[in-house]
Amino acid sequence: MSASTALSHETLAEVISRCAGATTDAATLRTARPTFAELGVDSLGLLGIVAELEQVLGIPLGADAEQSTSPDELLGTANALLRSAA
Amino acid sequence: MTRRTVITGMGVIAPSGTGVDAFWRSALEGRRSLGRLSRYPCDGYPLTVAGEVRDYDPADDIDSRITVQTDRFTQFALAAADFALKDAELRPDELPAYSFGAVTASAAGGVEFGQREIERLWSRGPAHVGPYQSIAWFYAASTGQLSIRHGLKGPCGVLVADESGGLDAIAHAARDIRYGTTAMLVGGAEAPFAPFSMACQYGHGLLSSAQEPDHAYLPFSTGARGFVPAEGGAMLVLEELEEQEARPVTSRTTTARPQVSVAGHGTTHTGALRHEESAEGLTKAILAALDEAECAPGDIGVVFADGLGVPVADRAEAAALREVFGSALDSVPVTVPKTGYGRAYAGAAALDVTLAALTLRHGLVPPTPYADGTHLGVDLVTGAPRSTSAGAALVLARGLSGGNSALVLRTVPA
Repeated sequence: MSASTALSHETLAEVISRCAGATTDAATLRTARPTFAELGVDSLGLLGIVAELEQVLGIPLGADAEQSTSPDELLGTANALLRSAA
Repeated sequence: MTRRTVITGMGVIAPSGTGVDAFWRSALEGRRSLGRLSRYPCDGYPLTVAGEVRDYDPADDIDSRITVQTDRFTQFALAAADFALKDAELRPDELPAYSFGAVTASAAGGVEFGQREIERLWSRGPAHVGPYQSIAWFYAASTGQLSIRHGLKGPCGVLVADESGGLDAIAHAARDIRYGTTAMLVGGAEAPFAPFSMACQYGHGLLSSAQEPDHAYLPFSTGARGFVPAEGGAMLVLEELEEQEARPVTSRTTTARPQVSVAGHGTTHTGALRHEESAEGLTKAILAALDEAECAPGDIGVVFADGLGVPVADRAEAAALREVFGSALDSVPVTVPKTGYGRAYAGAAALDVTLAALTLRHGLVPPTPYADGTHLGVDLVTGAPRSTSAGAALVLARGLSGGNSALVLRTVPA
């Protein structure tokens, strides 16, 4: 799979809901900026989210991504990696 | 002071009904709940008839953050425990920390979840295996999730064993209460119907190969041809008698009389698939359970038999009962209600104990569905339920790997 241009809030929200079962949406991620703890996503849930994003985006996200404390932070990490890979 | 353990809450998810009331009604009716296995395509496999939970999906009652990380067997346990806590009118957060624990028994573990992840592994590669596989397949998953869900910091344990382990778990929890724990959640639930999991059992030859439910699971009968496996199970709330009586409650089970105590337990091991030797093992287990319960054989008014449905094993169980009860066995009703919904491995014993407690409370022995009699000299209850004034019940369970367990339940005098 080739690398995508950017990770959207929409895709991230869908992956969080599907992989970790936490109900959220793009608008919530943009405005409320919850942490993973506030969403009820535990460390294994985050691992699953990162692994799925690596499949979706077509690039490895690395250990930093697995340490993200919030979707916002993960989005930033992923998009920085996508820009440098472009 | 002797601390006594009583059953104050029961939660059931069985092929024959969800919730204690529905389960009890179907047991008294002798409802026939076996059917064609549908959780995976069973064509081409030697197992066709099974007991499946079709009218209730535990995932409907559990937060999606938990369902993504749990197998069906854990979801059954979580939902059944919710029912049991509600029945007991007990809120774990109202008890002091470290005073409430959980014990479950499991034979299969999270095999549906595991099969799904293994399929991803070989069809798409390791990166497609979800991290929750690491905790969802595990036998301890149900106890762990119960502990997290309810903040249970008291004694927690897991028995990786099948039918006999279900009784041993209840005895384990009763012992924790005897040692000072205030309350315990205990039981077992299974969801064994994944192709690779059931394939592990095709070799032992004990699964019924019947194509039709009516002839599939007939313990103690000339038509016995193996057992029918099932999913589901039960969770119980156990509490210390006097502490429980001091607690303000209005719920029906909790205030129901007589109270039913977990009075005695015995277990032995006589080796995997050595059915003839289970006669001696079961005899010793029953005598140990009677001894601990301070019961004479004559005090036992009803027996919930293991009823494996394999002729040599049924003969061994009948021989054990004859050895313990002698000629008095002729007047002790013996029943195997699980013929109606199947053997749910470690969940089977908790379902049997639930029915035994209800039998003591309501004075009715549920029948053995599908069965029409026996040639093994036990008074098998078939057809209509039987009235009883029993003050004590004996529940038996044998594991396929050689465990022989017995549990005595007794009513507590008012």
